Amino acid sequence: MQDRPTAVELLDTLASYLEEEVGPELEGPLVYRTRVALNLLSVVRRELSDEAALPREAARLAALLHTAVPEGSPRLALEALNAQLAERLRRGGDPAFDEAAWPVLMAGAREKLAVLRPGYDDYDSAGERLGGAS
Amino acid sequence: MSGPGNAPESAQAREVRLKAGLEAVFQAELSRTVTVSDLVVTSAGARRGNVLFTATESGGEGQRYCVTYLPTLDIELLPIPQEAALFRLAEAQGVPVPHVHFATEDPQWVGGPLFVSDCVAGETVPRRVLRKVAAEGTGETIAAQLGSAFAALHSIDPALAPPALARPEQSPVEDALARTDQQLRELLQPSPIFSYAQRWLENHAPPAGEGLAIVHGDVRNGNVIIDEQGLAAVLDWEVAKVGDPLEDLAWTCLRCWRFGEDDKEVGGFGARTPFVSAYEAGGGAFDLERFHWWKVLGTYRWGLGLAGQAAAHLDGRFSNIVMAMSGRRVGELEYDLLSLLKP
Repeated sequence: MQDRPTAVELLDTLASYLEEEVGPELEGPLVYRTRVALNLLSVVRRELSDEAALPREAARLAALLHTAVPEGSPRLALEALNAQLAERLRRGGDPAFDEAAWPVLMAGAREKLAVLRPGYDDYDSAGERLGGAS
Repeated sequence: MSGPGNAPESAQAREVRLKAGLEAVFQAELSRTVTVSDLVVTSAGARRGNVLFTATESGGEGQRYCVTYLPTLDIELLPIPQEAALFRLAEAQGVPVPHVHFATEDPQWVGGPLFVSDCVAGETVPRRVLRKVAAEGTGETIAAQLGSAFAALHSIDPALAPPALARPEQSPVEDALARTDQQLRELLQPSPIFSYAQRWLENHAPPAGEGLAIVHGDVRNGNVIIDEQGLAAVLDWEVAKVGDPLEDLAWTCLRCWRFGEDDKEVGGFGARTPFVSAYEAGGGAFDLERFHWWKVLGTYRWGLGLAGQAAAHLDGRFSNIVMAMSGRRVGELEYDLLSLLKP
């Protein structure tokens, strides 16, 4: 167990440093890149804050594939399941499986967005298929 | 770009060199003795430069121009003189593009080939463009102007295209699928969503045999100049090719180019109806199913492109923080893909 500040608190400290001390000194392309850096920190921060994300996704994929979650670290287990699912969807030929897969894929996509860009999934492009948006 | 071991050229040294080269090339190409001043670098990509400048003849009034050039003789996507020829072809057909004054492949002026065109006034930075459009209420007009511009471009006989313009090997659809399949195999980690999209695109591929056209390939906010009247010019023709006209329309309508104006399908500017109406009024043929297929393809292609940027960062080919974070934008495109493919 490490002492405080925790990893998340250290990232917050780095973000404040970039925003309050470094940012005002910058101009030109560095302004944009520093904004990207701050975004990077917020992504990592949200990712660290959800430790249950990997096992949760692994359980969803294993259920879809009617298989057990592989032994070992959650990351390796998820990588194996992901590869198996990608291979099966690429092969195709099973419309019922595709249909069952879509909501599982969507749940995973939304969880990724919760880390990457909260709120991005407030908009849904499905309505654009026919008449066009608005 | 300077090679390994060379100190990068300072901005000041580059400006001095460009100024001298431009004055000399005006003399050589136009027999005009000018003084070049007020250089502004608008894009300093690794490969191409775009610089605005004023050329003034003795006793005359200065005029603003734009030079597009390659700083070296490295491989070009589309040779600069042929890009200039394409500008002229598009202009003659009524596509808003900057007027080209001359083009040369001679590397003695600025280190590589160049062309000089009019400097078109207006805004190009995407978020500033959208603020301007909102303030001036020109969004629906721009959607229609884009439709008209595409109709004009796509009405050009592709046989007139400059010879270096890429042409389909099989068909635009089959070529696109072969390319994405290759990129799918090269991903650093498998993506079930991209695999799903590849399979869907293969299963729903539109039939070949539709008309080919010269397509720009990258018309979107960021590659257009917007003024008070709306669309002033379409820029950045270096990925133009002979292809499926619906590919062009669809690319402009991807969510990733709306910069937050998600309900305005046409580039964050306006709705699809004025865009398509203007396209059809200008002689273009719209096909909803083909359009949708190319939107799915485009969304997928841009997702693969972002994953490729992250790979280039990680293996050191092109490392920087923006390329690194591209890898963490792939999830946006995966979500958009699934939304478009909702069963």
